[in-house]
Amino acid sequence: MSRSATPLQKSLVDVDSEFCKGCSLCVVSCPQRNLKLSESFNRLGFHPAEFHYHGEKGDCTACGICYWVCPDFAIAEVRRVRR
Amino acid sequence: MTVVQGAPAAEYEVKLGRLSTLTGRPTHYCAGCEHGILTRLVANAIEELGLRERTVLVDSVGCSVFAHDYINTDAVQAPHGRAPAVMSGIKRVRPDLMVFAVQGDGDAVSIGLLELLYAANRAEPITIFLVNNAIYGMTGGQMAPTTPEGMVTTTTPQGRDVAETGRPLDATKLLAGLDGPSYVKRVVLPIAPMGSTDLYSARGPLEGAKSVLNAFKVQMRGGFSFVEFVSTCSINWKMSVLESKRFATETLAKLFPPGLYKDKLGVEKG
Repeated sequence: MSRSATPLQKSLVDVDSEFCKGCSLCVVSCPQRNLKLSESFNRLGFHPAEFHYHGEKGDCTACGICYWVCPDFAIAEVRRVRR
Repeated sequence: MTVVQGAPAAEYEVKLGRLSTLTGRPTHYCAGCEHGILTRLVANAIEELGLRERTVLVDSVGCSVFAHDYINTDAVQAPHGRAPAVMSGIKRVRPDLMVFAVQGDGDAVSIGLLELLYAANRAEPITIFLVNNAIYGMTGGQMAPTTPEGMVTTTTPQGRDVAETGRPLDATKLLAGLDGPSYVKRVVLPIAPMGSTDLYSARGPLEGAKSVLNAFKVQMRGGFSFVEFVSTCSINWKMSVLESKRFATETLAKLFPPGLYKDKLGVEKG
């Protein structure tokens, strides 16, 4: 999976790419545009969503909107750095 | 699970995570279907109330029929439309259990309207979630009682003619008119396009999470709760996923206006 996390990342969205059906609901509802559809396929033949910490509009804030809109439980976990 | 390079998992706290009330199986729903969202909301509410061991799910017939595959509680399969009757029976024998059903509009409003109406009128302490996508989804897109005027379906190729088939049936208003139900609410569940931007608002799912939790709380206080979720069926509406979200939140939401129709016990205020 193409994810390069560094210790500077404050939050993390764990996408289970085998569950994803590529409906793109998380992509269009992410306020910071941190999610994109991948160019590769998963086992079911869909383009799964992919998490990028540095989005089009800013860094991920772990708001959890992608978690609530995902119909396929593919957004499995939203984590943020322990303070 | 993917391993994050450079950042050990111990440094992260899980804000929203996997639920013990979900079985962890992939769903059979089409891409972008609100059934999946509702499954997550229900699982989350049961987990939050800590009632997984004392909850019984009654399966209805329709796309919701495999809900027991995803929600990790006990389940009973009811005949088509008879979920409220089966739930009444379970609840009367075992009042300590929490009973709920996820029904579609073809199941609850068409064939099962009588059971729904009388269970509501008897004020049985049960919870019903109605997924209203204005069409028969599983059987291939036939006209449902909730289909809006002029909508093209397999059985109404010229568009629904209300002179012949009557106006779309509004189950929420129907139940709110009865004395029995304690909690009647309608939520527009799909994500909604926000003005001219290409961003979509997640107000529907977040509002839905609150409503599901309140519906269960009403049942625990001994009232009948009913929440209708206006949803989409992109496959049978012959639209793309995002077109169907726009249609549901702009056109269907006018026909089925969201809102709190009845709250006898005042759970919404807290």
